[in-house]
Amino acid sequence: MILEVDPRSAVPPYEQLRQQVTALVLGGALAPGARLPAIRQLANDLGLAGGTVARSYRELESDGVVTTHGRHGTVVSGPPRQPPPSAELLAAARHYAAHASNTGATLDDALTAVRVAFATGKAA
Amino acid sequence: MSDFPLVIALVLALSVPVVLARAYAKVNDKLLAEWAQTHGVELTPESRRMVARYLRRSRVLRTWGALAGLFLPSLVELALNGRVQLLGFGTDGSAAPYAGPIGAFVGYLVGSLYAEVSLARPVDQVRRSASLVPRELADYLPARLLRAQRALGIAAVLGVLVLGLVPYDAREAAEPEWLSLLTGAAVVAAFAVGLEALERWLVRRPQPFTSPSLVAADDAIRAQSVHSLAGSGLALLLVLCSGICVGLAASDVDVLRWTMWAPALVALFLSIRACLEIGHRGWRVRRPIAGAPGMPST
Repeated sequence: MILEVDPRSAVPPYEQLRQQVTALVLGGALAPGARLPAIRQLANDLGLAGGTVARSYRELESDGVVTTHGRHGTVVSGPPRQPPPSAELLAAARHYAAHASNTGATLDDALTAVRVAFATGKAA
Repeated sequence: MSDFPLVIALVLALSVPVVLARAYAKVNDKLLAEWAQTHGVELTPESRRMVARYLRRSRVLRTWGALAGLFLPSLVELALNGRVQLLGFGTDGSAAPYAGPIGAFVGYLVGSLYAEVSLARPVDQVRRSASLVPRELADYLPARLLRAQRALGIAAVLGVLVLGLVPYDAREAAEPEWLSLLTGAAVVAAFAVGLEALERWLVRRPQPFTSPSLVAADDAIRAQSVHSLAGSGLALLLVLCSGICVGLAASDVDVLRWTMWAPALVALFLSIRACLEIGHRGWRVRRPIAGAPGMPST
Protein backbone atom coordinates (compact mmCIF):
# COMPACT_ATOMS: atom_id res chain seq x y z
CA MET A 1 0.00 0.00 0.00
CA ILE A 2 1.53 3.26 -1.13
CA LEU A 3 0.49 6.78 -0.26
CA GLU A 4 1.28 9.65 -2.57
CA VAL A 5 1.26 13.35 -1.81
CA ASP A 6 1.27 15.98 -4.53
CA PRO A 7 2.77 19.17 -3.07
CA ARG A 8 1.45 21.23 -6.01
CA SER A 9 -2.14 20.18 -5.47
CA ALA A 10 -4.72 22.64 -4.18
CA VAL A 11 -5.87 19.93 -1.78
CA PRO A 12 -3.84 20.21 1.46
CA PRO A 13 -1.47 17.28 2.14
CA TYR A 14 -3.30 16.17 5.31
CA GLU A 15 -6.52 15.92 3.29
CA GLN A 16 -4.77 13.97 0.52
CA LEU A 17 -3.59 11.47 3.13
CA ARG A 18 -7.03 11.25 4.73
CA GLN A 19 -8.72 10.60 1.38
CA GLN A 20 -6.23 7.89 0.37
CA VAL A 21 -6.37 6.02 3.67
CA THR A 22 -10.18 6.18 3.62
CA ALA A 23 -10.18 4.87 0.04
CA LEU A 24 -7.88 1.98 1.04
CA VAL A 25 -10.18 1.08 3.94
CA LEU A 26 -13.31 1.30 1.77
CA GLY A 27 -11.63 -0.79 -0.94
CA GLY A 28 -10.69 -3.48 1.57
CA ALA A 29 -6.92 -3.09 1.07
CA LEU A 30 -6.63 -1.96 4.69
CA ALA A 31 -8.56 -4.34 6.93
CA PRO A 32 -9.74 -3.51 10.44
CA GLY A 33 -6.90 -4.17 12.87
CA ALA A 34 -4.17 -3.25 10.36
CA ARG A 35 -1.51 -1.02 11.90
CA LEU A 36 -0.56 2.28 10.29
CA PRO A 37 3.00 3.63 10.46
CA ALA A 38 4.01 5.93 13.29
CA ILE A 39 3.43 9.62 12.58
CA ARG A 40 7.17 10.30 12.53
CA GLN A 41 7.88 7.46 10.08
CA LEU A 42 5.22 8.55 7.60
CA ALA A 43 6.18 12.23 7.92
CA ASN A 44 9.87 11.39 7.33
CA ASP A 45 9.12 9.17 4.34
CA LEU A 46 6.84 11.72 2.70
CA GLY A 47 8.99 14.73 3.59
CA LEU A 48 6.10 16.32 5.49
CA ALA A 49 5.94 17.96 8.92
CA GLY A 50 4.89 15.64 11.73
CA GLY A 51 1.95 17.95 12.46
CA THR A 52 0.55 17.37 8.95
CA VAL A 53 0.43 13.60 9.36
CA ALA A 54 -0.83 13.97 12.95
CA ARG A 55 -3.70 16.14 11.70
CA SER A 56 -4.57 13.60 9.04
CA TYR A 57 -4.62 10.81 11.67
CA ARG A 58 -6.82 12.98 13.91
CA GLU A 59 -9.28 13.54 11.07
CA LEU A 60 -9.32 9.83 10.32
CA GLU A 61 -9.94 9.13 14.01
CA SER A 62 -12.85 11.57 14.12
CA ASP A 63 -14.24 9.87 10.96
CA GLY A 64 -14.07 6.55 12.83
CA VAL A 65 -11.60 5.07 10.33
CA VAL A 66 -8.71 4.60 12.79
CA THR A 67 -8.18 4.45 16.52
CA THR A 68 -5.01 5.46 18.34
CA HIS A 69 -3.77 3.19 21.11
CA GLY A 70 -1.02 5.33 22.61
CA ARG A 71 2.37 3.64 22.25
CA HIS A 72 0.80 0.70 20.40
CA GLY A 73 0.22 2.98 17.42
CA THR A 74 -2.67 3.75 15.12
CA VAL A 75 -4.89 0.91 14.01
CA VAL A 76 -7.61 0.73 11.34
CA SER A 77 -11.00 0.36 12.99
CA GLY A 78 -13.30 0.24 9.97
CA PRO A 79 -14.97 2.23 7.21
CA PRO A 80 -15.99 5.84 7.89
CA ARG A 81 -19.12 6.37 9.97
CA GLN A 82 -20.91 8.30 7.21
CA PRO A 83 -23.18 6.06 5.12
CA PRO A 84 -21.70 4.81 1.83
CA PRO A 85 -22.92 6.46 -1.38
CA SER A 86 -26.00 4.98 -3.01
CA ALA A 87 -25.56 2.53 -5.90
CA GLU A 88 -27.03 5.08 -8.30
CA LEU A 89 -24.62 7.82 -7.18
CA LEU A 90 -21.66 5.43 -7.27
CA ALA A 91 -22.56 4.36 -10.84
CA ALA A 92 -22.76 8.01 -11.92
CA ALA A 93 -19.42 8.74 -10.22
CA ARG A 94 -17.78 5.78 -11.95
CA HIS A 95 -19.10 6.96 -15.30
CA TYR A 96 -17.78 10.47 -14.65
CA ALA A 97 -14.40 9.16 -13.35
CA ALA A 98 -13.94 7.05 -16.49
CA HIS A 99 -14.83 10.01 -18.72
CA ALA A 100 -12.49 12.37 -16.79
CA SER A 101 -9.70 9.82 -16.95
CA ASN A 102 -10.13 9.50 -20.73
CA THR A 103 -9.69 13.25 -21.13
CA GLY A 104 -6.41 13.04 -19.24
CA ALA A 105 -7.71 14.81 -16.12
CA THR A 106 -6.15 14.03 -12.74
CA LEU A 107 -8.18 13.18 -9.62
CA ASP A 108 -7.70 16.74 -8.39
CA ASP A 109 -8.92 18.19 -11.71
CA ALA A 110 -11.99 15.94 -11.61
CA LEU A 111 -12.79 16.84 -7.99
CA THR A 112 -12.38 20.54 -8.73
CA ALA A 113 -14.77 20.19 -11.68
CA VAL A 114 -17.33 18.50 -9.40
CA ARG A 115 -17.00 21.28 -6.83
CA VAL A 116 -17.43 23.94 -9.52
CA ALA A 117 -20.43 22.09 -10.94
CA PHE A 118 -22.01 21.89 -7.49
CA ALA A 119 -21.32 25.53 -6.73
CA THR A 120 -22.68 26.76 -10.05
CA GLY A 121 -25.63 24.37 -9.82
CA LYS A 122 -26.59 25.80 -6.42
CA ALA A 123 -26.12 29.38 -7.67
CA ALA A 124 -28.36 28.65 -10.64
CA MET B 1 62.22 -2.15 27.65
CA SER B 2 59.69 -4.59 26.20
CA ASP B 3 60.00 -5.88 22.64
CA PHE B 4 56.38 -7.02 22.52
CA PRO B 5 55.11 -3.80 20.79
CA LEU B 6 57.72 -4.41 18.08
CA VAL B 7 56.36 -7.93 17.50
CA ILE B 8 52.83 -6.49 17.28
CA ALA B 9 54.05 -3.84 14.83
CA LEU B 10 55.58 -6.51 12.59
CA VAL B 11 52.40 -8.60 12.62
CA LEU B 12 50.32 -5.51 11.83
CA ALA B 13 52.68 -4.42 9.06
CA LEU B 14 52.09 -7.76 7.36
CA SER B 15 48.36 -8.09 8.01
CA VAL B 16 47.04 -4.52 7.51
CA PRO B 17 47.82 -4.38 3.74
CA VAL B 18 46.05 -7.74 3.29
CA VAL B 19 43.00 -6.52 5.23
CA LEU B 20 42.90 -3.29 3.21
CA ALA B 21 43.28 -5.15 -0.09
CA ARG B 22 40.32 -7.35 0.87
CA ALA B 23 38.26 -4.30 1.82
CA TYR B 24 38.89 -2.59 -1.51
CA ALA B 25 38.30 -5.74 -3.58
CA LYS B 26 35.67 -5.40 -6.31
CA VAL B 27 32.14 -6.52 -5.50
CA ASN B 28 31.60 -9.16 -8.15
CA ASP B 29 28.40 -10.67 -9.49
CA LYS B 30 28.80 -13.84 -7.44
CA LEU B 31 28.99 -11.90 -4.16
CA LEU B 32 25.99 -9.80 -5.18
CA ALA B 33 23.96 -12.89 -6.07
CA GLU B 34 24.82 -14.56 -2.75
CA TRP B 35 23.96 -11.42 -0.81
CA ALA B 36 20.64 -11.06 -2.64
CA GLN B 37 19.79 -14.69 -1.96
CA THR B 38 20.59 -14.60 1.75
CA HIS B 39 18.63 -11.37 2.14
CA GLY B 40 15.71 -12.57 0.04
CA VAL B 41 15.76 -9.76 -2.51
CA GLU B 42 15.60 -9.86 -6.28
CA LEU B 43 18.08 -7.42 -7.76
CA THR B 44 17.15 -5.19 -10.67
CA PRO B 45 19.67 -3.05 -12.59
CA GLU B 46 18.91 0.01 -10.41
CA SER B 47 18.91 -1.82 -7.07
CA ARG B 48 22.03 -3.80 -8.08
CA ARG B 49 24.00 -0.55 -8.41
CA MET B 50 22.86 0.65 -4.96
CA VAL B 51 23.62 -2.68 -3.28
CA ALA B 52 27.07 -2.99 -4.92
CA ARG B 53 27.92 0.54 -3.80
CA TYR B 54 26.76 -0.20 -0.25
CA LEU B 55 28.61 -3.51 0.04
CA ARG B 56 31.93 -2.01 -1.03
CA ARG B 57 31.58 1.25 0.91
CA SER B 58 30.48 -0.49 4.10
CA ARG B 59 33.38 -2.95 3.88
CA VAL B 60 35.89 -0.14 3.32
CA LEU B 61 34.46 2.11 6.04
CA ARG B 62 34.20 -0.71 8.60
CA THR B 63 37.82 -1.69 7.89
CA TRP B 64 39.11 1.87 8.18
CA GLY B 65 37.00 2.37 11.31
CA ALA B 66 38.48 -0.71 12.97
CA LEU B 67 42.04 0.29 11.95
CA ALA B 68 41.51 3.82 13.25
CA GLY B 69 40.21 2.35 16.50
CA LEU B 70 43.37 0.26 16.75
CA PHE B 71 45.91 2.95 15.95
CA LEU B 72 44.42 6.31 17.03
CA PRO B 73 44.85 5.68 20.80
CA SER B 74 48.53 4.87 20.19
CA LEU B 75 49.03 8.07 18.19
CA VAL B 76 47.23 10.15 20.83
CA GLU B 77 49.36 8.56 23.58
CA LEU B 78 52.53 9.28 21.61
CA ALA B 79 51.51 12.89 20.89
CA LEU B 80 50.34 13.72 24.41
CA ASN B 81 52.67 11.71 26.64
CA GLY B 82 55.50 10.72 24.30
CA ARG B 83 54.85 7.08 25.27
CA VAL B 84 55.22 4.36 22.64
CA GLN B 85 52.48 1.74 22.89
CA LEU B 86 50.64 -0.42 20.40
CA LEU B 87 47.24 -2.05 21.00
CA GLY B 88 47.64 -1.30 24.69
CA PHE B 89 51.14 -2.77 25.05
CA GLY B 90 53.85 -0.22 25.79
CA THR B 91 57.61 -0.36 25.31
CA ASP B 92 57.86 0.34 29.07
CA GLY B 93 56.31 -3.08 29.73
CA SER B 94 52.83 -1.73 30.56
CA ALA B 95 49.95 -3.84 29.26
CA ALA B 96 46.28 -3.01 28.66
CA PRO B 97 45.25 -6.05 26.56
CA TYR B 98 41.63 -4.92 26.17
CA ALA B 99 42.55 -1.58 24.59
CA GLY B 100 43.05 -3.15 21.14
CA PRO B 101 39.74 -5.04 20.87
CA ILE B 102 37.74 -2.16 22.39
CA GLY B 103 39.27 0.35 19.96
CA ALA B 104 38.69 -1.96 16.98
CA PHE B 105 35.04 -2.67 17.92
CA VAL B 106 34.27 1.02 18.51
CA GLY B 107 35.83 1.89 15.15
CA TYR B 108 33.95 -0.92 13.41
CA LEU B 109 30.69 0.33 14.93
CA VAL B 110 31.34 3.92 13.81
CA GLY B 111 32.31 2.71 10.31
CA SER B 112 29.11 0.65 10.02
CA LEU B 113 27.00 3.60 11.13
CA TYR B 114 28.66 6.01 8.72
CA ALA B 115 28.31 3.54 5.82
CA GLU B 116 24.54 3.39 6.35
CA VAL B 117 23.99 7.09 6.98
CA SER B 118 26.11 8.27 4.05
CA LEU B 119 24.63 5.93 1.43
CA ALA B 120 22.72 8.00 -1.12
CA ARG B 121 19.36 6.48 -2.02
CA PRO B 122 17.56 7.38 -5.24
CA VAL B 123 14.77 9.89 -4.56
CA ASP B 124 11.83 10.72 -6.81
CA GLN B 125 11.92 14.50 -7.08
CA VAL B 126 8.42 14.86 -8.53
CA ARG B 127 6.13 12.73 -6.39
CA ARG B 128 6.31 12.06 -2.69
CA SER B 129 5.36 8.50 -1.95
CA ALA B 130 5.61 6.29 1.10
CA SER B 131 4.70 2.78 2.07
CA LEU B 132 1.85 2.42 4.55
CA VAL B 133 3.56 -0.55 6.22
CA PRO B 134 5.13 0.24 9.62
CA ARG B 135 8.86 -0.36 10.09
CA GLU B 136 9.81 -1.98 13.40
CA LEU B 137 13.23 -2.99 14.69
CA ALA B 138 11.98 -6.56 15.21
CA ASP B 139 11.51 -6.83 11.40
CA TYR B 140 15.20 -6.08 10.85
CA LEU B 141 16.91 -7.82 13.77
CA PRO B 142 16.16 -11.21 15.39
CA ALA B 143 14.49 -10.92 18.79
CA ARG B 144 17.18 -13.12 20.38
CA LEU B 145 19.91 -10.64 19.38
CA LEU B 146 17.90 -7.81 20.90
CA ARG B 147 17.43 -9.85 24.09
CA ALA B 148 21.16 -10.68 24.14
CA GLN B 149 22.03 -6.97 23.83
CA ARG B 150 19.77 -6.09 26.77
CA ALA B 151 20.93 -9.02 28.92
CA LEU B 152 24.62 -8.27 28.30
CA GLY B 153 24.05 -4.57 29.04
CA ILE B 154 22.47 -5.43 32.40
CA ALA B 155 25.17 -8.03 33.13
CA ALA B 156 27.95 -5.54 32.34
CA VAL B 157 26.43 -2.82 34.56
CA LEU B 158 25.95 -5.26 37.45
CA GLY B 159 29.43 -6.70 36.87
CA VAL B 160 31.04 -3.25 37.14
CA LEU B 161 29.24 -2.68 40.45
CA VAL B 162 30.21 -6.15 41.77
CA LEU B 163 33.88 -5.21 41.20
CA GLY B 164 33.47 -2.75 44.07
CA LEU B 165 31.96 -5.31 46.43
CA VAL B 166 34.63 -8.02 46.33
CA PRO B 167 37.77 -7.77 48.52
CA TYR B 168 41.23 -7.41 46.96
CA ASP B 169 44.67 -8.26 48.27
CA ALA B 170 46.40 -4.87 48.43
CA ARG B 171 49.75 -6.49 47.52
CA GLU B 172 48.37 -7.79 44.19
CA ALA B 173 45.67 -5.40 42.99
CA ALA B 174 44.54 -1.88 43.83
CA GLU B 175 41.05 -1.53 45.30
CA PRO B 176 38.82 0.13 42.65
CA GLU B 177 37.31 3.50 43.63
CA TRP B 178 33.52 3.65 43.88
CA LEU B 179 33.31 6.92 41.97
CA SER B 180 35.12 5.36 38.99
CA LEU B 181 32.94 2.25 39.20
CA LEU B 182 29.71 4.25 39.32
CA THR B 183 30.86 6.38 36.40
CA GLY B 184 31.82 3.23 34.50
CA ALA B 185 28.45 1.61 35.22
CA ALA B 186 26.65 4.75 34.01
CA VAL B 187 28.70 4.81 30.80
CA VAL B 188 28.00 1.10 30.13
CA ALA B 189 24.26 1.61 30.79
CA ALA B 190 24.21 4.64 28.47
CA PHE B 191 25.99 2.63 25.78
CA ALA B 192 23.56 -0.31 26.02
CA VAL B 193 20.52 1.99 25.88
CA GLY B 194 22.09 4.14 23.16
CA LEU B 195 22.89 1.11 21.00
CA GLU B 196 19.25 0.04 20.81
CA ALA B 197 18.13 3.64 20.28
CA LEU B 198 20.60 3.93 17.39
CA GLU B 199 19.27 0.73 15.81
CA ARG B 200 15.69 2.01 16.07
CA TRP B 201 16.77 5.32 14.56
CA LEU B 202 18.37 3.55 11.59
CA VAL B 203 15.16 1.64 10.93
CA ARG B 204 13.04 4.81 11.13
CA ARG B 205 15.24 6.93 8.86
CA PRO B 206 13.31 8.28 5.83
CA GLN B 207 12.47 5.71 3.18
CA PRO B 208 10.59 7.45 0.36
CA PHE B 209 8.90 4.95 -1.93
CA THR B 210 10.56 4.85 -5.33
CA SER B 211 10.00 1.33 -6.65
CA PRO B 212 9.32 -2.03 -5.00
CA SER B 213 12.78 -3.36 -5.96
CA LEU B 214 14.60 -0.32 -4.53
CA VAL B 215 12.58 -0.42 -1.31
CA ALA B 216 13.28 -4.16 -0.95
CA ALA B 217 17.01 -3.53 -1.48
CA ASP B 218 16.91 -0.60 0.93
CA ASP B 219 15.24 -2.77 3.57
CA ALA B 220 17.91 -5.46 3.13
CA ILE B 221 20.69 -2.83 3.38
CA ARG B 222 19.12 -1.42 6.56
CA ALA B 223 18.92 -4.93 7.99
CA GLN B 224 22.62 -5.50 7.31
CA SER B 225 23.55 -2.12 8.83
CA VAL B 226 21.48 -2.87 11.94
CA HIS B 227 23.12 -6.31 12.17
CA SER B 228 26.60 -4.71 11.88
CA LEU B 229 25.75 -2.29 14.66
CA ALA B 230 24.34 -5.08 16.82
CA GLY B 231 27.39 -7.26 16.13
CA SER B 232 29.94 -4.62 17.10
CA GLY B 233 27.78 -3.46 20.03
CA LEU B 234 27.49 -7.01 21.34
CA ALA B 235 31.23 -7.46 20.85
CA LEU B 236 31.90 -4.37 22.98
CA LEU B 237 29.57 -5.55 25.73
CA LEU B 238 31.17 -9.01 25.65
CA VAL B 239 34.68 -7.60 25.85
CA LEU B 240 33.57 -5.47 28.82
CA CYS B 241 32.15 -8.59 30.50
CA SER B 242 35.44 -10.35 29.78
CA GLY B 243 37.34 -7.48 31.43
CA ILE B 244 35.02 -7.63 34.44
CA CYS B 245 35.69 -11.37 34.77
CA VAL B 246 39.44 -10.66 34.71
CA GLY B 247 38.86 -8.01 37.40
CA LEU B 248 36.98 -10.53 39.54
CA ALA B 249 39.74 -13.10 38.98
CA ALA B 250 42.18 -10.58 40.50
CA SER B 251 40.11 -10.40 43.70
CA ASP B 252 40.94 -12.02 47.00
CA VAL B 253 38.06 -14.53 46.74
CA ASP B 254 39.44 -17.98 45.94
CA VAL B 255 36.37 -19.20 44.03
CA LEU B 256 36.51 -16.16 41.74
CA ARG B 257 40.28 -16.41 41.33
CA TRP B 258 39.95 -19.95 40.00
CA THR B 259 36.72 -19.76 38.01
CA MET B 260 36.63 -16.32 36.34
CA TRP B 261 39.37 -16.92 33.78
CA ALA B 262 37.25 -19.35 31.77
CA PRO B 263 34.26 -16.98 31.25
CA ALA B 264 36.73 -14.15 30.53
CA LEU B 265 38.29 -16.15 27.69
CA VAL B 266 34.92 -17.37 26.39
CA ALA B 267 33.52 -13.81 26.37
CA LEU B 268 36.61 -12.52 24.56
CA PHE B 269 36.34 -15.27 21.94
CA LEU B 270 32.60 -14.64 21.52
CA SER B 271 33.18 -10.89 21.14
CA ILE B 272 35.43 -11.47 18.12
CA ARG B 273 32.92 -13.89 16.63
CA ALA B 274 30.03 -11.47 17.23
CA CYS B 275 31.82 -8.61 15.48
CA LEU B 276 32.94 -10.68 12.51
CA GLU B 277 29.84 -12.84 11.98
CA ILE B 278 26.66 -11.05 13.03
CA GLY B 279 27.21 -8.14 10.67
CA HIS B 280 27.48 -10.50 7.70
CA ARG B 281 24.59 -12.76 8.56
CA GLY B 282 21.84 -12.97 5.96
CA TRP B 283 18.48 -11.75 7.18
CA ARG B 284 15.15 -11.55 5.36
CA VAL B 285 13.25 -8.46 6.48
CA ARG B 286 9.83 -9.55 7.71
CA ARG B 287 8.10 -6.41 6.52
CA PRO B 288 6.04 -6.86 3.31
CA ILE B 289 7.15 -4.61 0.49
CA ALA B 290 4.46 -2.24 -0.71
CA GLY B 291 3.77 -2.42 -4.41
CA ALA B 292 5.48 -5.78 -4.79
CA PRO B 293 3.56 -8.47 -6.69
CA GLY B 294 0.60 -9.56 -4.60
CA MET B 295 0.57 -6.38 -2.54
CA PRO B 296 -2.19 -3.86 -3.22
CA SER B 297 -1.25 -0.31 -4.06
CA THR B 298 -3.23 2.86 -4.63
